[in-house]
Amino acid sequence: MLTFILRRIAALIPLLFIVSIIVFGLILLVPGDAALTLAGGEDATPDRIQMIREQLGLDRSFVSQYLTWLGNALHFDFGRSLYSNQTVVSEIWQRIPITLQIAGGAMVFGLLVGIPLGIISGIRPRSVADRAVVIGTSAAIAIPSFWLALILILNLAVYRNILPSRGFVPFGESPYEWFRHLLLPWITLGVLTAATIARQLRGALADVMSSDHIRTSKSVGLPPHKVVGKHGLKNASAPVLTVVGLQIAYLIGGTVIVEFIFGFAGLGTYVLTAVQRNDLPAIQGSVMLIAIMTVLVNLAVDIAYAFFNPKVRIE
Amino acid sequence: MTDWDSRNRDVDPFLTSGDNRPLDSTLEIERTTEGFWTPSALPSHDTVPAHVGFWKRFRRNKVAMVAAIYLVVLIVVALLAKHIGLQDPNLQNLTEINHKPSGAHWLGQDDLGRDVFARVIYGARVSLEASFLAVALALIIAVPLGLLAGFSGGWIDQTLMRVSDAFQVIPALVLALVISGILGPSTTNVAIALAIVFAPGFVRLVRGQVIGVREETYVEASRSIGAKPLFIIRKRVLHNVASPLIVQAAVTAGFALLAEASLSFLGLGVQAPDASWGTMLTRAFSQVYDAGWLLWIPGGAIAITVLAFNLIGDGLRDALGTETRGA
Amino acid sequence: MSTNRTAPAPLLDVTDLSVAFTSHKDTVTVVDRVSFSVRAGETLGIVGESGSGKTVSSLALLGLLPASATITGSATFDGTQLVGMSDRKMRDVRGNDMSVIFQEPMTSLDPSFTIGNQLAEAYRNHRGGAKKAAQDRATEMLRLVGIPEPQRRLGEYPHSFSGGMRQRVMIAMALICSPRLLIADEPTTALDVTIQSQILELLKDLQTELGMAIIFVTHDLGVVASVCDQVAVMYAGQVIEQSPVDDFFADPLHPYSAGLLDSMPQSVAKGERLRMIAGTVPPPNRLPVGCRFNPRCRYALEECTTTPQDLEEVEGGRMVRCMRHADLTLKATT
Repeated sequence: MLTFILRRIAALIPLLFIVSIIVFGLILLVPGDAALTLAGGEDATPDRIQMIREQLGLDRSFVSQYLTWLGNALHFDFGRSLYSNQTVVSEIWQRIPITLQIAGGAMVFGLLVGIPLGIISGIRPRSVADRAVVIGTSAAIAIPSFWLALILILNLAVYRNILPSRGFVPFGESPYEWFRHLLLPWITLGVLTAATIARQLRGALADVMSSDHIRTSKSVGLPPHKVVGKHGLKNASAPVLTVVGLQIAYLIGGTVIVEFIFGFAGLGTYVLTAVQRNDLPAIQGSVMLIAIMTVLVNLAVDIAYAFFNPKVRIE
Repeated sequence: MTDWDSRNRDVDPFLTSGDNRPLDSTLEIERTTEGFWTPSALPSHDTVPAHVGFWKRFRRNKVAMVAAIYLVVLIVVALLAKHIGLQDPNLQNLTEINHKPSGAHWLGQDDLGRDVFARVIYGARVSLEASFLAVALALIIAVPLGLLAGFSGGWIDQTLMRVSDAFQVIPALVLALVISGILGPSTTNVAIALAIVFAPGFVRLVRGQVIGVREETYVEASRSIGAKPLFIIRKRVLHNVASPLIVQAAVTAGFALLAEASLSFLGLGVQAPDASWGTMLTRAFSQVYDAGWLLWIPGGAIAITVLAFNLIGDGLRDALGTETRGA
Repeated sequence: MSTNRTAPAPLLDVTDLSVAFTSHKDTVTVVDRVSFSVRAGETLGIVGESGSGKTVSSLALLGLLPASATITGSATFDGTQLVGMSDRKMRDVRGNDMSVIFQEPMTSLDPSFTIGNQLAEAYRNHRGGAKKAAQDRATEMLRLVGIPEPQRRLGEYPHSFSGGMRQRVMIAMALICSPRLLIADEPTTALDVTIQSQILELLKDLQTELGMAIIFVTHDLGVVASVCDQVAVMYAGQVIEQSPVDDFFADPLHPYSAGLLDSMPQSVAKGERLRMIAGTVPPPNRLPVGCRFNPRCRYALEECTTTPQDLEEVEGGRMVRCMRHADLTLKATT
């Protein structure tokens, strides 16, 4: 198991290397003279254009710029924001907890809702309950999550004053208010995750339940909670974990919109603001960190996958 | 011929229980758990339905047909928007702001008194244009790369796969946001950004199909009878790649529409005063305390259109026999 | 070996057992009024082609059919009615009084748990007790079915066992609670020929040692000849003959039985082609009128194509479903 984990970590290094090229390569997309565009176009003062040119080393070749950037990035230094003049890492560091609370809570919501629904419909395909789950999840997948957020705000915050429509309250300040303020973001983001998990689990469980070894479990007289809960779920868990891994990228990406709508100062709004201001170091740093976060969470999922699936470890 | 033959078990031990119809059909649901794009779920050359039967089968799927008709009507109306007597979508009427639907304005008026119906139709144009353009560009980038990776194998394949892995590590929305933001806000740039985001998935799909097909013996066979490689690509491989690609393209068009709406909701797509469904939502949200009902129309349009793309994708999948999963 | 049905009460007595599957609007009867019985310690072979309903009948006894199946008729195990038994009660019977082993050893064990875990679970499910006791019992069973180093192999996953070894594990699991009846559903079909005979020998030895009755579902008459006391032949969802095995091979009563015997490779001289029964088993939704075998029967008369035939008891405790059984003299080799 340890060698398995080490090998997976080793495989991440070339991956992150390519990601770093892509992320740094974003500079090539900046239209026109990069320094001029980044400084804010025609209205920018010559001083500012010159400052940006120097700060980013825009005079040098792309490869040389990249190597400098990569060298700094390896020391966890992504330069300074063109606006606040703070280091990008320190700015992001403050904002990561909020984003993780949104994405993590949404994942919990997705699991808490998706797993029971998947079990209900997976053990009896084509039953009434199954059909209801299939229709419900189809709708949940078609509804844009940001529209869902707006509709929830309209109905629960505007028309009825049940939940707050904006803002974040730290857990330490008031756990109750923290929960109230995060509930809508969690639901907004978690509905699609729940629907995806439910569908995947439904398919996986239906396949497993019709397999020979489940028939064996029944044939030795095991009760349903053992047949489904132990033999069914453990074998159905691998494909579900794959989906959970894929959902992580979605959830982290989705926080951009959710933070924007609910007015949270998280990583998502940070990227958005950086994009709106053409703050290239901030964009590159935050995208790189988001990619690293996604990779690490996926690594955890991979390890869990190996735990559930003894064959994977050996290969 | 009889299948009673005790030698059966030496030939294929599982044949013997193969046609215990009702019981075994419930026990023999196909056990692929991944999506339809896995090579294992590929239609092999002899199960690929003749394209003659395709329309017949698609038409039989009523839900998919309704979705297709909806989409065709939407496209036609959007294309002819200027000629069907719609009101000017950008004409303001500040004396009639946030008015609810009426005879003169079927879907009401927004916060600047503009006709919501006209804006939804003109917005459809922008949204559909962006999503079709994104899918088309993604296919143009991805199909050659996927074929290259699948056929050449070796380091070219490895490199292309690692690069597409790397693209998929960055959350799609973040990548699209960043690319379109750097390129500058416009519908075309949103389409380019989305094409870059979707391309790796298509590369993977094409490559997987090529490898799946390449390993099948009939390609070996045509090679051994001396067919030229290009002939093989054209005749055999594209045939097997096309079906799943069409399905995937339909589903991706839905994603693209959703992504375009998200990006323009964030202010990155089409610029004011022109409408897209996403920007209409942004404006409606700013009026949420005064005219919350405005949220329903563009949001509903997005949801229904995305659903239509997904249903068409499902219909195509069934009609093309791309997926064989039972449950 | 007594062939009189009235002698000791049968351990399992199946009378007029029918199984129908309902889908959408159709109801298809796959097993039609099947009757047979097994006495304690005896081996019954149920023989038939694919689609004859032999597997469905045996799964029906254990309540292992999907919910779309409707089971009617009677099947008593040691006097207890199995048809219509509640799930809870049926679970007490399965694996405890009656066990089953299947055709697919490669896929019949859960790949995610160790052999020891699965064996101990099967044991503790009925017998409870400490984990240690269950482990000991599992080791003992593995040794009994001839798996070397049982202690060590308990901790391994199914994928490190070969097909023959997995079938041995399946047998150990089925017998861990010392059932009185074992249903073996083509247990050797998926195995290599050499392994097949090893498993058959093992089952015979275990039967001698443990004294359970066995129902052997198979399409292989060679297997029937080597392990069974009684044989029931199924065709298109019906039992068409039940006979003691010696009588069956010497003097088959039904033309289909004779055809089966005739198509055995052993009954053909070297160099001669294998003989087959022309045609195939009709699917359950397109059964012929009259005797279900009539389209393939070389002895069919006009009446065979119009009047359904019942299973009749004939001398020697044998049963047959053929109106011409009295006037036909069938031999294994024609």
